[in-house]
Amino acid sequence: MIEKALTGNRYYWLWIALLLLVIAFGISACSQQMLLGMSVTGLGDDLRWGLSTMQFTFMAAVAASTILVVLPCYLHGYKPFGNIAVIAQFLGASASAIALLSLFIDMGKPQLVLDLLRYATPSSPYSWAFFLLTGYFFINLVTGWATLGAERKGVPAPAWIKPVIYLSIPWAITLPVVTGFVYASFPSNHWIASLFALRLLSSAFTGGTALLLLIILILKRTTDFDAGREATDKLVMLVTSAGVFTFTLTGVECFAISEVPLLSWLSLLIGIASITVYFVPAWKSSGRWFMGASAGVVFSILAEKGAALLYSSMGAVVAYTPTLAEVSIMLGALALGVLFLTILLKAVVAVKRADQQA
Amino acid sequence: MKITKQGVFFGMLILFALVALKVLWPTAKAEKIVPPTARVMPIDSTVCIAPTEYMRSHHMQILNEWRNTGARDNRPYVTADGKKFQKSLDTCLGCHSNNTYFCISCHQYANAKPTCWNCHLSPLDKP
Amino acid sequence: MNEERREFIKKTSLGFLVGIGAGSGLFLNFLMEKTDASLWSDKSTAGTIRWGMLIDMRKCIDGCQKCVDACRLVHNVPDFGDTRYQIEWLKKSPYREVFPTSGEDFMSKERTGKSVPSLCNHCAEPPCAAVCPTQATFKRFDGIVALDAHRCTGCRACMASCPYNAISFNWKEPRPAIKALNDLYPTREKGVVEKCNFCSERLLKGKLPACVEACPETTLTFGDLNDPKSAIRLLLEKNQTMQRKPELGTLPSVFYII
Repeated sequence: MIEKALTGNRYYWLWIALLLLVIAFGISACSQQMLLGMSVTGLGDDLRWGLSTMQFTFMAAVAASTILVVLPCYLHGYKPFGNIAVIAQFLGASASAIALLSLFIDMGKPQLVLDLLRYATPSSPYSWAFFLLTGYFFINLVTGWATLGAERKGVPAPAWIKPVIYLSIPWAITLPVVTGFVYASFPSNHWIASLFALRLLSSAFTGGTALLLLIILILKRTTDFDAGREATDKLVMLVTSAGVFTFTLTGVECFAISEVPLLSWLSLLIGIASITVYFVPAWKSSGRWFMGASAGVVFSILAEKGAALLYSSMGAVVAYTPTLAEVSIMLGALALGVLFLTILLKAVVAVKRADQQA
Repeated sequence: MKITKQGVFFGMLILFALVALKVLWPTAKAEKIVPPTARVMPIDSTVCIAPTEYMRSHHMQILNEWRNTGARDNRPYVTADGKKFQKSLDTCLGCHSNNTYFCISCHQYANAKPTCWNCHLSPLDKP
Repeated sequence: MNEERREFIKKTSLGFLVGIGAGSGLFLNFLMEKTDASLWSDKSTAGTIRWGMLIDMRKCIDGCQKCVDACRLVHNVPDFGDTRYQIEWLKKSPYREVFPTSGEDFMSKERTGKSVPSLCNHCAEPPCAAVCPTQATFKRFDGIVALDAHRCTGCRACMASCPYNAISFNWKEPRPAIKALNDLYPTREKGVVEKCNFCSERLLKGKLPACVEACPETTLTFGDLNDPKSAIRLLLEKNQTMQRKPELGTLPSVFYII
């Protein structure tokens, strides 16, 4: 199936070339970082974690949110999601890969990455995050690929796939929980550890589902793949309900804590504005507004992850300007994951098209 | 596969087993008493820890083991004939830094690039 | 027959997964530190050492940097001259920064105006050791929270979790920033964290920590907190002392007389 990624129209190759360019920039910035140390980033003694950690938590959240499609599809046999379940699984795999890459490039000594497995520590949420993301990557890749392969041959999916998919459900829920615990270890965190994990769980379902919605919209515009009206509506419903919870919690933070970063307010305002678009039928049916709202939700959740990092150990809000190198590294990791996702989705679209013709 | 009564029953059974395990798990941890070590442990650098031939072929394994355990295991390294040494690169350098090129001459010839000198001061770095 | 067995296996595995899913909620203790009332008592156990330090601010000379300089020299601590990249094992900072949660309302200027030495607290319940994914930061048998730089991956989780800002990261190659290289102690390399080690390498040789030795007054007292007859325990008994952010339950081993 992978050979499908080698054929495409001009726009497809332009997209691939763009991704490769971003990856090249990322690699060059990464080599700079290896040479000069982490001082090429905008981080410092006051602010230990920045863009890469933001991307790590966001992508862990995206990976987790894919069970909102997988669970109804496989556990409850909800048919409209049957078409997009594979996309959700591949998104889960790619998002886990980006999250792992973001962790990797943020390490002072990335050559010791395997020590994270060798000396895995049960008391460390960071250690759990690494282990769980690696596992989730393989679970989603294997199940997604097997499902797609069976669909291409027109045979039912192999029986072993079901237990693995069931395993992926509790596995997915643990991802925002452990990233929540990573954040909750900050002494400046205003949330009780267990509550912060719940907040990230809720924002994961909001942001991740909005991203899936965005991907489906892009696929609909660029290829002949259509997820179907019912599936899209259901996803909007999920984003809206999860979003209401999430932005309530963000609002609680903005209003209850004396000093919050500007980014928190931005996240709240954009989030509420985007959710409002989903509520108004006229705006929802307009393609442009709809896409903008989905992108708005994604941005809002991304900003929420970033804002939680902007406190010094003494609790003060820290000013942070990411450097060009840092942005290149982050985007390079992102582009690598998106390239991976593009290749997988190309196979998905080709198989679905063959199905429709048959 | 449908969600059946039996399936749920089995799940509940396992859940109860897990809860029971959790509740009945012995929580009182016996505090491990580590006797205080001798406060003074001079670096003995009068003799080598192993015969020259063995050291020539196996020093990297020994040093790697020391590197992995030296910081957290407070017991000294005991040689085959019962001598005790502190697990530290300084134990070796106590003698071997007499020759400034002891490490580097051979490593250079063998094109070996140990990471020791990223942090530890080699005899060449010493002022 | 075969069909039945298949069904049985299917159902059992489903049931097991449901069990795992629900059970994962019950086993969170793996991740979180348990609140155990017995931890709040003093953790003295016969036969073990718990090194500690008492800083008597009544005797500390304002403007004196002898302890800080000695620490820098003995451990090859680099000086980048830039707060963003600065690496400090021991530093003197204003009262407000050392005790941000203690309040300073109506206290005499004499007490709050001085800069206070601060270092790693070598907590009995160190959050940094709990969050380290490779156990590079760990609690030693003698109460010292040690750092094994060989194993440090530079993830900075320890820095993020330390409420005392006692851990520094090598954002740059440290060697060029070391003014006088001491050949008795290794340096660090870029990409690892570093912190005060209570001079464990000197304790091994029967010496006191370098800062204690360098102090011209008797500001710093070092000793075994588990030994009721040690000088530090006698001082702790006689004086009103305080710890940094005691409300967090980290049980610091560094005490202050203000």
